[in-house]
Amino acid sequence: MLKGLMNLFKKDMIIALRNSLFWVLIVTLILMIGMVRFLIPDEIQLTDNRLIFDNSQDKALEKALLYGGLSEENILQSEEEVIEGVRENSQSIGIIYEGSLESPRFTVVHHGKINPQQKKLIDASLKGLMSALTGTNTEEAYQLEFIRPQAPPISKKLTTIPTLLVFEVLILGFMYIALFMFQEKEEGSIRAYRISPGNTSQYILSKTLVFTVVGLVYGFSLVLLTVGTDFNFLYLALTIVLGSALYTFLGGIVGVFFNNISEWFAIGVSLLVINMIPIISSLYPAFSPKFVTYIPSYSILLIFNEILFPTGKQLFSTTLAIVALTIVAYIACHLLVENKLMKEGR
Amino acid sequence: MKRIISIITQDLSTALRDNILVYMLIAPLLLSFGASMLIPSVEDTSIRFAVENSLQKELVMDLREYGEVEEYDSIDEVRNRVEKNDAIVGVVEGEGKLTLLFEGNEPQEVIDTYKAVLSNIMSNKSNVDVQHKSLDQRGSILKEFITIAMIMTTLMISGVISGFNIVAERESKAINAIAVSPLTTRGYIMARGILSNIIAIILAIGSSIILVSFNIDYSNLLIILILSSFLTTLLGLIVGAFAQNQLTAIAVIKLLTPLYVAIPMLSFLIPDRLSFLLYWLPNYWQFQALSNIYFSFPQEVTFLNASILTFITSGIYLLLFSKYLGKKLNLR
Repeated sequence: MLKGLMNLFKKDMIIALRNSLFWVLIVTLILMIGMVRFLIPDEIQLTDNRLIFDNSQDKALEKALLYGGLSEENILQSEEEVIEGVRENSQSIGIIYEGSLESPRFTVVHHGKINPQQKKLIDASLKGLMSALTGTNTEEAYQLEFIRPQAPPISKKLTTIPTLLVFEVLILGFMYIALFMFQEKEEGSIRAYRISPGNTSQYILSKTLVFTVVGLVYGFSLVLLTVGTDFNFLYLALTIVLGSALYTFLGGIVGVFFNNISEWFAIGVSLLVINMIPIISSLYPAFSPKFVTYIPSYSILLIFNEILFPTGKQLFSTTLAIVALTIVAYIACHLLVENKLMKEGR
Repeated sequence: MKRIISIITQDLSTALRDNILVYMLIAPLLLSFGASMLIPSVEDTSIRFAVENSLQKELVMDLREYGEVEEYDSIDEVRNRVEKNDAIVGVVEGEGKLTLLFEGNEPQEVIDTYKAVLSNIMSNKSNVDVQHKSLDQRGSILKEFITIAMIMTTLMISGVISGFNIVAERESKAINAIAVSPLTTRGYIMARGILSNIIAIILAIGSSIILVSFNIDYSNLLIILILSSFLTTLLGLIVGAFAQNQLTAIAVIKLLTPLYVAIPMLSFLIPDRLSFLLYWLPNYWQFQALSNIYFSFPQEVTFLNASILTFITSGIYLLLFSKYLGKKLNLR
């Protein structure tokens, strides 16, 4: 059984590497490392996007903000300048301050529609600013408690690494297992395989092993050359193995229903796009409706984040859920390959 | 012309027979529909609180004005909720003092936001008057950004599927028969380009209608789609020229996708002074032209200039590439 599996693994690995996979991964790796190290800034928000016009007598807000580090470029001299500035830049928000510290009036100039809750949040931050200016902070009225010690801030560009691990490294198996199937169908290898001593498990596992090995080398190269060595190697290796296996099985489940890349492509790409929805949750953590949490990449992203930038969060149950999903995916993939792909090869 | 039409008819009948056309049309449009359902909920995302039932009703009402509130029977339940994977902050009362309960992995700006909310509720300050002035009623930048990404993705799908036909012809050696026919390289490229561009235009307009309805200038969209036809064709030809089989085809696409879709999108993140690094990419100009259509604020390059630059740069690449393709496939 093991010998047969290893022979198949060798054959699949040679096919994968012979067909430019090796060079594509090298070029993509260089592109990703170059992008993370040189192109993406440390802080995505390069400039303060507030445009301020302090129309009060004492210019208290303007002085306080300049003292706090706001650039003079962000201080404008009229309401018209603020409106023009916001109009020209989608990221800007205009704040016009009038009145006095005792009776302040703000006009917030922005693009698009803002819902009432978001408006209240803006109001709260402005009121907080005025409280700080007048020294009437109410922070002593409540306290903060952290379940675990506060995690140190992470460089914004490094936060892209878990995303790249999931959406570049792990998905290799999803795409390539389908292509292996198409190629083998076309060449008649499936028919030959049916009359060989090999079974369906070996067929699936040899391909899974290929993308697990490739995923480990690819994933570790990416992490070591960007994040460094300060992470749990074993946990990362296990997650890559688990994730690669899961996506390979899912790729097999989808792949059996198609005959060639042209048929598969639009659906395959669409599924990969759906798989990417959890990126929104990483950008806006409050956005996590139930259906997004059911997408496997959501949990795997959390696990990678915790491995590379530990906060002490226990993700045992999340990991266990991925293990369970991988087992279910394998069973489904096995049944479909056995009953559909192998039968087509008759 | 007869041979060009014959190749187009052949591609169309293969696409219809294998349901490729159905998948090509349905998948991106369904994706756009899904995105149009999803975007409003992303835009309306607000902060969330997990509170104890015993908390003063007035305070809970105040919190609801700022975000979603989930109520729990005990402090332990609130703690368990906060520890779950999504972002939520607890508000509990212990020893007569309100406590904001964080998990520990929240960025400082999130902590500051929750602090501002609680401070504001507790201070009862009413002397700060805040008015809001919106300059336009269009959706957020997210919707526009996703629409542009969807349009570029549909153009890529249409282009590369045409490239798969070339790969299939290379695999089945049918290309050798085409090579000895009177069809020229230019004719072959036209045959491959016409169908993929018609499908690309239908898909892109369909996706746009689903995502932003009729709130943009569709004549401008049609102009940039037509001026992008060299680029869409080029995508297919690159796949067809560099891939001998389906495995290498996906390898080529893996390199092409970030270059085509992701890099222009990243121009949003990179500093302005570095954007010249992307000027050589026709898809950068295509992205600029689409940005002019979808974003309500003025762009650095006008729609007309960006469209012309898309046409010229992709035309140069297509011209150079057609020579390479002709040699590679032994076409006339």
